[in-house]
Amino acid sequence: MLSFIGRSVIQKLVTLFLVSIVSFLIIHIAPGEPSQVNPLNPKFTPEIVERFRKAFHLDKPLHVQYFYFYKDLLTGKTTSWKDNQSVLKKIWERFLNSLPLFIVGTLITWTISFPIGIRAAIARGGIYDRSTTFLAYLLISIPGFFFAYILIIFVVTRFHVPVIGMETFGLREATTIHMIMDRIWHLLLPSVLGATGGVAILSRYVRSQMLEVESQDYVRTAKAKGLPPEQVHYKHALRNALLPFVTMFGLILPGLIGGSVIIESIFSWPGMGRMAYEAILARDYPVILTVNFISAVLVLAGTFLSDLLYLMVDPRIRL
Amino acid sequence: MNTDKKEFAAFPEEEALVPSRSRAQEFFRLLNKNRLAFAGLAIFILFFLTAVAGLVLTSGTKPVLDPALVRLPEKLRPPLSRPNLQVLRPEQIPRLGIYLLGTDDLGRDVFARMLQGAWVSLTVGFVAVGISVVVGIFMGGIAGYFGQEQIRADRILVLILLFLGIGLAFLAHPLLGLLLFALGICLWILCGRAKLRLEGSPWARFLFAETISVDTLIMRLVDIMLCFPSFFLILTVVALLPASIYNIMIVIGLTSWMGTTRFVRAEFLSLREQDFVTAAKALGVSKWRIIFRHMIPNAMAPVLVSATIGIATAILTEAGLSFLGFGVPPPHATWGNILSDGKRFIFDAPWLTFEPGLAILIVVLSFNLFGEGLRDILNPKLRERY
Amino acid sequence: MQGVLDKSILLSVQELTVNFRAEAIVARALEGVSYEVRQGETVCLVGESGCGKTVSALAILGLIPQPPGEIPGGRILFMGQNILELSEEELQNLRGNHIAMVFQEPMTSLNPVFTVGEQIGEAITAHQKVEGDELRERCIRLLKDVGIPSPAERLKDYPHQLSGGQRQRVMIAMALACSPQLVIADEPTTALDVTIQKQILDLFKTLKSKKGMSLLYITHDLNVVANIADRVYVMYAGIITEQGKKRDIFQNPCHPYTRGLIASLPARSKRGEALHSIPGTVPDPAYKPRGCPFHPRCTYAVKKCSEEFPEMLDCGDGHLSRCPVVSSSERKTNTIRTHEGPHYSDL
Repeated sequence: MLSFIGRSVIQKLVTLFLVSIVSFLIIHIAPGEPSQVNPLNPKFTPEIVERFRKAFHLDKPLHVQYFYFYKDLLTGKTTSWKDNQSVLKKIWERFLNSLPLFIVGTLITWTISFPIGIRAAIARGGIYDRSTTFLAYLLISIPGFFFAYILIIFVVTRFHVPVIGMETFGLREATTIHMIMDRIWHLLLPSVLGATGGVAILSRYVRSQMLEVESQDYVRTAKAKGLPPEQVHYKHALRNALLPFVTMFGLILPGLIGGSVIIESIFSWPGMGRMAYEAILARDYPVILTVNFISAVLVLAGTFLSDLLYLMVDPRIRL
Repeated sequence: MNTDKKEFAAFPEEEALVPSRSRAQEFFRLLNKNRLAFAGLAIFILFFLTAVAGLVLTSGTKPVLDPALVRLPEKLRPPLSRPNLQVLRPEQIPRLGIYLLGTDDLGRDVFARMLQGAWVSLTVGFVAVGISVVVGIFMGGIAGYFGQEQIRADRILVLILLFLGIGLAFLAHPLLGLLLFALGICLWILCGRAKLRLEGSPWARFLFAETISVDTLIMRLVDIMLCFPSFFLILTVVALLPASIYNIMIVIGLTSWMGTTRFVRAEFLSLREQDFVTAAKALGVSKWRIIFRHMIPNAMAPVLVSATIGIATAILTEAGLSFLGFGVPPPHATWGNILSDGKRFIFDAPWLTFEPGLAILIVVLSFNLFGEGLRDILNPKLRERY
Repeated sequence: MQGVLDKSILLSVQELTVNFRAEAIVARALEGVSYEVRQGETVCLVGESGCGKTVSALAILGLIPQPPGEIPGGRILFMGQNILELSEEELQNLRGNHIAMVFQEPMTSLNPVFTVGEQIGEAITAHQKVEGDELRERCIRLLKDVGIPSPAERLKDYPHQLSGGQRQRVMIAMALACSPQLVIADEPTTALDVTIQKQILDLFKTLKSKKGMSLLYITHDLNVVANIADRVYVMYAGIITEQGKKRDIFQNPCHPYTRGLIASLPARSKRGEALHSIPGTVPDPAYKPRGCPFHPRCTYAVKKCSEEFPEMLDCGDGHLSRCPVVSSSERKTNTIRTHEGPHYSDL
């Protein structure tokens, strides 16, 4: 077991290293200069441009820049080129904004998908199955922004659910309960939107896993033993069907740094997605590279976690 | 006991009782049974014809239906409304006599723009997926077939030199780049010749050491690609490169080959052990012929399914990019940017949101349904068992 | 309407018909199959793959999935009740408790995520209130009965840690957990090595005599039949072609199919001779020939065989055959045209 962990960690670190190089290269090889350093930008005098270049080592060769940048990154000192704030601070603030959206969305997705998928599989071919299947396809196919606007048109005019930002202006003086409820009210639409796509996909996956397990011989054996249907489905079948999903748990991790750009744009939610989007537009390299790096770390950590969970949960795998 | 063997053809008319069908017939029969998949295919064909018609009708300097013609007095007219003939010059009157799908905020005919956008969606979907499938099959096939072969150190050296040479030649120093490239070629030839002679010497152990296997290399590449959140990667590249439809297609294609690679590799790994491959080898069939003629057709099933679903995803991605402003540059219409332009008028002119949205929904839905239906058809395990 | 039953009949399958529908195609898996198992006897159901023997066993336990499958006719009487009319709860009471089944594939018939002990224990607790140490003791005893060494340690093992033969023994232990009156064994040794086959067969014989249960053994291997059967039913393409006591079947087969099967046994060929085989293949259950389903492959067939579906003919002393051609020439006593269960009289 230990050797597996050791080998896995080393492999992931190598991958991380390579990712850092590749993302660095992509940014710097792409044509165009960051706006601050563009000599044509009227806001900057040549001296400011020169100072900027020196400060960020832009005049040095690529590999030296690489070392400087990642040294700063790993010691937490990277600064954004756009507004001179510390990158990590910026990311942290936006992360805290995105977090509730992410948590609520994930909760909704995982708690709804399983009952739907399981029930559809057990009553395969019935009305429930066919209608949820159709609904799932619809939700997977609808473009996010379109669905958002439909929801906005119908829900907002009816129920006055707020669609701008995270909280209502001027509510700072209100009581805490009021504030919390206001926050939740604002969270509703964007997280439901984010969750619907996930529910559609996950419930289909649950259903197909369940169907595959239900056709296995050992489910037939369980029935032949005279076990009641609840035990056959929820004890024997489900336990096997859930195995791959335990591993999917680990893959939730990368979602932390994500944040749908589209949803955040529509609802003016100041989250990670918007920040990364603005950074890309402004060619704010430190921010882009940092976000990339953190995302890679999370992806690798997530897959590592998945492998570990799989080891723990499936008795057939023992290293 | 009487065990005489009589002529077997005692009752010849009984022999062929089960109707036999060719593969194509069997495919269509199954397709017909699965109504959703059939509907998906039908809608796709409709979409394809619409897109081609759109291309023909809206391109050129004097197109039949002009998507770029600005008519400011006629802006934001609802669908099926009559044009106000008083304010229009004769060439500004819409061909069909009415604004079939309304006009947008610049008075442009939405119907014409939708037709123009159809072609964009179609090509982006197909070309992007085409690229990703080709790359995926290539990578997956090599990883699956040659998987365990190790890469020698000298080969890596040669490759590094070659790529560095090309890179430098294009970017900064043509002379240096060419030099490196030539050096790489020389090394390649030299090492090929010298391998036998250097055997045993310390040079040999260094130069010809086995590093990693082909399979590991390709899988590491896949892992690296997977570390980048795909939408951000696409957004990054598209934002940094000049906006054009080709860039978008290539980028989407180059960021979505990982799934196909995994599928093809898995299939190849299992196919490689099968008897028909061994039989082909025993007959002396060449490696490449085995791969292309025998193994790839068998591995196609999951690739086809993921390709159709990939087309759907590519169309959605392109729409998303257009929505954010990174799609095909204006005034060329795409469904995404019609929606994006319309978002400011969502309460006044909801058709600007609904029409492209519904169109995208229907097309993407049809691809998804067809893909799922294809999966059921191509999956022998899911066929109805007696 | 209940008739006068011969108390010794445990299970009576009567004119059972089972179809499977796939869109417009109907596969007739069983067509009017009748057989019975009496107290304490071993009945073998013999036939090639696809003849419907497994389907009949699944039908007994109510395990035929009813969307693709349908049971348009017949009765399955077990201890006086028609299984086909029982509710799901009553069926659950029957399964594992009075009738138990051992399946063909030990590799996939055990749940991989539960231990052996949990699965055997479950077979017991499904029908009886036993728990704790007593449950454990019973599981250990069951494992010992089926010949697994160090049973106490094996309780904690997962199925993938056992060999095929051991897994099959565990399946048998699960089947015997509640001491059922009837055990149905569906080709339990087909997936195992030949050496293990003999062990499992001997195990069945020992257990049967110890526990006094009846055994319905499904197989395609005539050697197995010769080893353990009391009575034999030969099946082909969803019908019973011949039935009788083991001795009669082997010494005096009255159906061409049976004769072909016996002649195909390697032991029956003389050295230097080509091995005998029955030409042709089993018909697709959706496209069966007219008349007698075996006639396209039959060396005794006459024109009538392709036109009329043959009835069961009596060849004496419980030995019945569905071949008018062979049995009319070999028949020992009088002819009773149809077989309607001579021990059962309907009032």
